[in-house]
Amino acid sequence: MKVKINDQSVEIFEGAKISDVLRKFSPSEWKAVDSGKKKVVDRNGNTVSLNGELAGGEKLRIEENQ
Amino acid sequence: MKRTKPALAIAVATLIAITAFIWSRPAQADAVRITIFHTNDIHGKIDPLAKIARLVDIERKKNPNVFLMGAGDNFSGNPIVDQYIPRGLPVLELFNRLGYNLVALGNHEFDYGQETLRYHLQHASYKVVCANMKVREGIVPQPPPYVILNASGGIRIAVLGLIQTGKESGIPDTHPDRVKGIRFTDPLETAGKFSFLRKKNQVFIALTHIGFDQDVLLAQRMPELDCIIGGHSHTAVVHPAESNGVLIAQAGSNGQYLGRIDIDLKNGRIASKKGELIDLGKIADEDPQVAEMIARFNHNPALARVIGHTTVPVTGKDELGSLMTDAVRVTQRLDIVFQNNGGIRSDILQNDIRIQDVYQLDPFGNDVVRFEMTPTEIRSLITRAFDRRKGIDLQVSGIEYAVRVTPEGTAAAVEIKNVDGGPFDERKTYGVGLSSYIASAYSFDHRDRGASLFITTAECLIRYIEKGTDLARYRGTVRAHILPPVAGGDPVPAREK
Repeated sequence: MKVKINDQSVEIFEGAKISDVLRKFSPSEWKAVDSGKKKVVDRNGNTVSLNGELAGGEKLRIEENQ
Repeated sequence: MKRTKPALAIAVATLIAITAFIWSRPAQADAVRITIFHTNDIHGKIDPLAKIARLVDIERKKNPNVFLMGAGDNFSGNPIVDQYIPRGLPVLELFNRLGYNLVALGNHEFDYGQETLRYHLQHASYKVVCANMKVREGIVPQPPPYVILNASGGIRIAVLGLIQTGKESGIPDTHPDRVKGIRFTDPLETAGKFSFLRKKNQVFIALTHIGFDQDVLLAQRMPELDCIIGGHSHTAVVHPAESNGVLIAQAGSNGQYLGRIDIDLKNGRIASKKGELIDLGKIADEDPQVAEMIARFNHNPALARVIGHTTVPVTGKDELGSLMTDAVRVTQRLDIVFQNNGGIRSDILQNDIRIQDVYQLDPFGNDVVRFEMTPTEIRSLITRAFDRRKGIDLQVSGIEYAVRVTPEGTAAAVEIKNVDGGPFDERKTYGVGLSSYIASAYSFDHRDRGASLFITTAECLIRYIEKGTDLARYRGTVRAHILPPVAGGDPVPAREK
């Protein structure tokens, strides 16, 4: 399935979680989110957790965690 | 007399009709507030439930119309709960104790198998709803598609349950073996068949486990809904907003938040509705009795359960990695399985092997992901993993391999043999199992996008050891080798290219 992170398309296996697609997108961004420095938000601006389950076509953004 | 009989009949009929009309309508209470607390995707994280119990009890003492609902995935994700006997019991007993009114099925409710789910459904004091599953030959009792809850003032609340299904698989995201005999239909299409619930009920709610994006689509299709209380995507909807007039809420995951929705009715009609998330990290008060239950559950003796024994210790990355990959390959009927050295977190297994030893060895909760791969693609994985770590990084089952290195120490070529030492069939494609970590963090060529098998590598290892595998045979096992550079001329023998 394909998911967009920061407007970039990332292809990931079916059944992947947010942490999986984030790791594939950028290991450093994954670490930043895992450590709490950054967070992942969905297209509506809601925060989603790293173990959140994904569906194809989702749009995510990585933001600073304030 | 002939004239008075019809007149009397009409009078009686009119009286009955008026009475029926009055009874069919809610009592005209001045105002009714319905409060719904909700959780989703607890995933076995039971510690916050003592706070939730306290918060809900306080409201229940003030208002008779307080309900507690769960939007699925209450299990899977905490070894203490997952390995309890019977599996998941702490969540079941705590949900009963907290007085959950209603729970939607999530995809991970199937993770323990249908027998365990049946046990949960039979022992739950709360109702479980799911409209888009039909039990045909499965052993799980058929849940109702919806439930009507009654509030004071004659207010009726219809709650429809929906579970996620995969776009390609057509089943919820769990191992296919666990949902045999159960047919699932598309949640949004199914929901449309229950629009009639709007007519006879003052409040109409969808309790879903389909993810926030799907909840938004559901709201677009069904403006007759008042609220959607969702789960699956682990979305923290801090300020629930209306979409197409439907309030959509979701409370993150792992018990970080408790969701709260207040619906105010006047004369049987909704006057206002609003939602919020309560950050449980900022709440100190706990229900002491529930906290005591949780403390008892957290000392789960099942984690100390002995599942195997070996007098010959299994040590080091090669032996332990061979054991771990064999476990995945055998239990998941795969051809080849890889495990990265970084995911092997113990140095030794010996004597009595307990469940907690498996979680110490493999603590990350990674799922198994299946890829259909060609020999060239398999080599790309081995080569790039080798170059990434400048040495052997992947333990393997189903084959043995050797990396021929360049004088600089990078991978020049990979020689693969079958485990019996015979030649590797270069024309075949292979069912390859990788941990979700390797599948996402490692770079390798693959035309198949891959699919999760929704079972953790640790779970495979527990099953493999439990079935009486002879662990002594791993002593001295080495399946990944380094070959030195070829001196002079072509650094790579032709057969390895």
